[in-house]
Amino acid sequence: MNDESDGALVRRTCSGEPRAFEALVRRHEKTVFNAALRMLHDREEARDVVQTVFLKVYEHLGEYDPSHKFYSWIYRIALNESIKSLQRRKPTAALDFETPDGTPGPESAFDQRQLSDGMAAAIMSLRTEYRAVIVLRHFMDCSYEDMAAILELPEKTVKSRLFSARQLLKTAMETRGWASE
Amino acid sequence: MTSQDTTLELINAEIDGVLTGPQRAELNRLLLADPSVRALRDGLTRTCRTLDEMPRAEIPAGLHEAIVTGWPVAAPKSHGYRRAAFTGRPLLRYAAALAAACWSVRWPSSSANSTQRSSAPGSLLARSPMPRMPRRE
Repeated sequence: MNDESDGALVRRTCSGEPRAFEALVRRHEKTVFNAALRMLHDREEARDVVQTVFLKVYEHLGEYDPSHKFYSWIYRIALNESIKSLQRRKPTAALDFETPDGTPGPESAFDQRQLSDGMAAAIMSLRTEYRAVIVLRHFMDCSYEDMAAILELPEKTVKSRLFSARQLLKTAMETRGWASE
Repeated sequence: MTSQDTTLELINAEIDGVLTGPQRAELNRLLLADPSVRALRDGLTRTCRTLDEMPRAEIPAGLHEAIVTGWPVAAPKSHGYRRAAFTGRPLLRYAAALAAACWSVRWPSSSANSTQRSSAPGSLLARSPMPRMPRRE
């Protein structure tokens, strides 16, 4: 079942084989979770988003157009649900950028974790549209073409947005004391 | 397109692995000619490397199970080739028929408990008739 294409699994799900949908979930759940986590910086919210995404995918599977890539469709739903979740947040809700536990590991691991935490905070400082392109490119491995299809924007706009987002992240990291090499 | 736009496009194309031969030559020329282009390229490359090396989180324990037990029993609607999961499961079909039969037998005598059940908001039971108060002698 693992070698089957997404399209084949969708057809089998629609024919009444729940196990085929479980295979689709297993294939995409980690990517969707990580994307939601990077969009929201909150594990519980990301967890809720993932559940909502797959429920919506299941309910609307019949509307899926097989001429498009299945993962593009899922990723679009995941981004939309993450954005909805962000909009539901109270304006005063503060984001916690602390590390999950305060125990430092070996020096290099600690540096790496500090770097990752700093970058996670920098990602959260971006406007939603910039964050979305960073998540699609760097956490969902989407091509420019995929990103354009998911965001329903011209490829040129997507590239321009991605390049700007990267520059903003670079500046944010430098502001946080990230020295140039 | 300004020269800065061109420079940015070339650097990002290099980062994304889509730089063509002529673009590579142009980028090399810019890098040799201008230290600020080198600094920009180094900074963006490092930014993207850091993004790509950020650890990917494992999904929380129980999430997969919560997803796969959370969807409805019926198969999703599709374009003609769907076979409803419910009708494809005889056991469920018989169980539902049995439950319906039991319910229809039980319903006439169930009004005695309806006060308690009718308080359930949003349920069909909320529409059950109110119990009759016993007459005072």
